[in-house]
Amino acid sequence: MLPSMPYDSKNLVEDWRGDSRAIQKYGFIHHFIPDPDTKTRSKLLSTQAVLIYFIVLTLIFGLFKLIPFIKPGVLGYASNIHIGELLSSTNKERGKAGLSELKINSALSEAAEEKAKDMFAKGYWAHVAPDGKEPWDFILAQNYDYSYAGENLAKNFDDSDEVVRAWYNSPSHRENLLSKNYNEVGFAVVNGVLDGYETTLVVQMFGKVRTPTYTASAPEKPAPVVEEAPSVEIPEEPAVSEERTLAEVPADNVQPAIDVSSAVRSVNIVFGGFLVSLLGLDIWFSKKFGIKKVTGHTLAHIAFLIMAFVGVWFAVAPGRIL
Amino acid sequence: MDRDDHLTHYAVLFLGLALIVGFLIYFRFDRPIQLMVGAFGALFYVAWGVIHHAFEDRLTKEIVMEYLLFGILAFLMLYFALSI
Repeated sequence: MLPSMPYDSKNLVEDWRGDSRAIQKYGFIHHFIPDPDTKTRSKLLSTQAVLIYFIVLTLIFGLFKLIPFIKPGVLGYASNIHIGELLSSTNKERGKAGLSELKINSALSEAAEEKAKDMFAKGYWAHVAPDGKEPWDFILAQNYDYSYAGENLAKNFDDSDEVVRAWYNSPSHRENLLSKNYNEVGFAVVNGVLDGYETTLVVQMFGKVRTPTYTASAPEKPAPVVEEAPSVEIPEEPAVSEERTLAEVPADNVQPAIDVSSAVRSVNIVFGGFLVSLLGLDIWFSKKFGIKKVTGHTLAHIAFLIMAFVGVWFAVAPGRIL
Repeated sequence: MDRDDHLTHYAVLFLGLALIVGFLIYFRFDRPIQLMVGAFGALFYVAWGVIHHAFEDRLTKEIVMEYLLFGILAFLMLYFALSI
């Protein structure tokens, strides 16, 4: 039971001298509220307690890192990414920059799909595979004879707009998104387990087929040019391939057993709420019972911790781009 | 320290913290920069605490330790969230 005002701890101890349980309760309550005798913060805000929080946070972090090795696929990133939205967001950004829209090309989409599957199969996250296979190898394997080609990668994102926004915010990826050299694009959104995490890989491949412009400088040899560049007919396909590709791709939803983003935010809320509540109690009790402590400013700690929690909540985007 | 100075110190703290949150959100797709902003935020907080208490003429080792621990704790949370 909490003492009523005025808070005279000496009298309380006198009163409770014959009641050991009451003294235990008095001791226990100071885990949560400041102690007027020692003029210190609650025990759960002591240096030792904060050091224990470091250990608890490290253990939780370690658990997040360990689970993918013990039970691959249990942890993951929930996602709801659609190729149609990726295309429209990409073209929206190009439109803002006064550039022409990119058309979906089935060969580039197929190359992107193969690249995503290759990353899952070989367990890597890079533009160049461990065996040295480059993005261009996937594109050429689809008989897409390009004059310009490029690749953007993304993983762990939860929606299509975020993916394109992340690419747009990175200078090198924006260069691909807003390049005048491309007129076609292919996307793949593939789900799987990478590094033990259930995730969604997004591969965006840009291209422009090699145009037979040099036939003008070699008009006497038109035939070989056509033979060497069978993909010159590809630009005529997009209307058909766009319909087919977009229709064939289902809504790519991933719902892992434990969503990493939600778990991180939950830990953040529980831990942050706990600390801010303790600090709030510290202010309240200190003011109510006139406890003058020689400590840092509690209000400043609350403001700083809230900044950290807001930062983690809003600023930590789980998605990564390459 | 008079009331006006106290308010000025807190205004600097809140402005600094708001800027740090703003930078964290602005660079949300750039983790290395977010980590640097987080580290700078923690250092700013510790420095604010030390300077503020020095002005109040009641700076002790325990108080420095307290600001340091809260600074490290907040940075650790951000670091873990960015590393998972």
